[in-house]
Amino acid sequence: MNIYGEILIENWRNPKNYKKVSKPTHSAEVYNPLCGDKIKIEVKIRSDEIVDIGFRGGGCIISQAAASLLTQEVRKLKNVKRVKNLTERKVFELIGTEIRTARRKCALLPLEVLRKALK
Amino acid sequence: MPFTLNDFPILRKKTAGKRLIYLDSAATSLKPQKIIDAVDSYYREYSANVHRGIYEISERASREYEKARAKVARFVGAKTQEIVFVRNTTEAINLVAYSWGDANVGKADRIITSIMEHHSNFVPWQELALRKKAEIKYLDITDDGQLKLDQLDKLLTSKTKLVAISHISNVLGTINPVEKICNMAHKVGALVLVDGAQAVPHRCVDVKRIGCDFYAFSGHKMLGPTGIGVLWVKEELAKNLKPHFFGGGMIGEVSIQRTSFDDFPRSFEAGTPHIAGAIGLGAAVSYLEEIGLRTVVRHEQMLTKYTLEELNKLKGIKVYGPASFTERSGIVSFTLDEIHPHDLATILDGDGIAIRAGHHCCMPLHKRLGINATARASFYIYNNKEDIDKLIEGLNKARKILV
Repeated sequence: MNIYGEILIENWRNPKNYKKVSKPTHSAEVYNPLCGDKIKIEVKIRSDEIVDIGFRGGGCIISQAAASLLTQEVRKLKNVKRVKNLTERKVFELIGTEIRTARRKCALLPLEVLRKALK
Repeated sequence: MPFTLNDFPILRKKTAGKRLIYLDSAATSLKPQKIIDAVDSYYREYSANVHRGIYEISERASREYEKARAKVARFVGAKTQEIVFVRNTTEAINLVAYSWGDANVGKADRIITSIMEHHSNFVPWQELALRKKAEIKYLDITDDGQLKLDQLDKLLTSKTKLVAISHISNVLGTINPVEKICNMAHKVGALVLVDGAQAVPHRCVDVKRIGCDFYAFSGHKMLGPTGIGVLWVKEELAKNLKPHFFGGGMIGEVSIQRTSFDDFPRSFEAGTPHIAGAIGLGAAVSYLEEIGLRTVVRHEQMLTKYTLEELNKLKGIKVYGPASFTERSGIVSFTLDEIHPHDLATILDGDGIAIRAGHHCCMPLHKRLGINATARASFYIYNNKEDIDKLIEGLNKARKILV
């Protein structure tokens, strides 16, 4: 079975929102010691609305693509409260493919960083 | 070889018509039926405690448990009374750090280890150094993945108490010159602990010939059960070693005021041991002796040579460790282009090929190599050229999808 479908590959090759945010109001970084992945997310919030988001860092296809997909979703939602309610299941929906237990941590790393940033 | 792949039940099983291609024996080995049977028969036929009961099955359990100790001792050129059964290599090393280390390493003393160590031969010493305010130094490696021995010469001082070194690197596959290291260390009065987790399953190890003071290895990497490992301590040292764990089975006489302890190695095996595990390990030793370690070495060298040749044909490949197959064990770590090793492993897994990806419990080494992770293929007796062909095929497929 090949889990590397179009969505994953496309978001890994051409990640959206891979950038530094100027004057972010919130940010966080998490390191996954299992694979050496490190993701940093910066957010700019103005009156309960996310006006800018960007991520940086290196890692595997799954974590990089998940970060791209997640930040796009955040841009769509905008409202901080709604973004805070983003679930793990939503991340897997965005990725659109089944991820084996050992790699779930990679897929969920960006969400973990986002939650930490918004705390 | 005097065995067949059919000896391994897990290889008889087919998933979606495909046999498992297992290339992760450096993590743990597969188990032959004979070892499973040995464990099984203990539980079915004589599952009594050892050294306690006065009845038939307890005596049988004690006999088999001690027989396993004798087999293991002979296998590594040791005396039976020098062998302690522990859980694994990690526990063996920690045991030395706590029992010998706490009693013998003091402020400003020096411990030397290397940058290529597994965390299990790294962190216990780092922690001991912190506890005792001792100094810890790390031997560096060359670009070819060999220890810099000239550096060791300079690091060894009269304050050096211990050199802790792996026999074979679990990432680079490098076979370290442990005999030479022992010679050098002993000249300044330092002791040597050798982490033999990757060596005992794959080559003839003789602790006396190496000349070390402590030697540690695991049963599960040499066809034996998980949860059983071995600490060998040189007899002269063992006599004066203070036990670390106290309780049942390790005492001489207990009174309210004081307790005297049994002799080594019993003094180091507090509580009911992993009886089935030890018996299984004994069976694994017999199985390996039947095949002959020379045959194992030859087989793995052939596979390593083939793997290095085939890998080096791939575009974008980088192989770590000694370039020559004669200087390494059956462990080959590599990266392919910019593909993250975890993605490589996932793609290979899709074809039933099991490799390891990550830092393999060697973060300082990966940092030294300037990378976060590597992919690692490692072999044992049940692998063949066909497995390597499948690996190469899988890597080509990964390149097609991801590059």
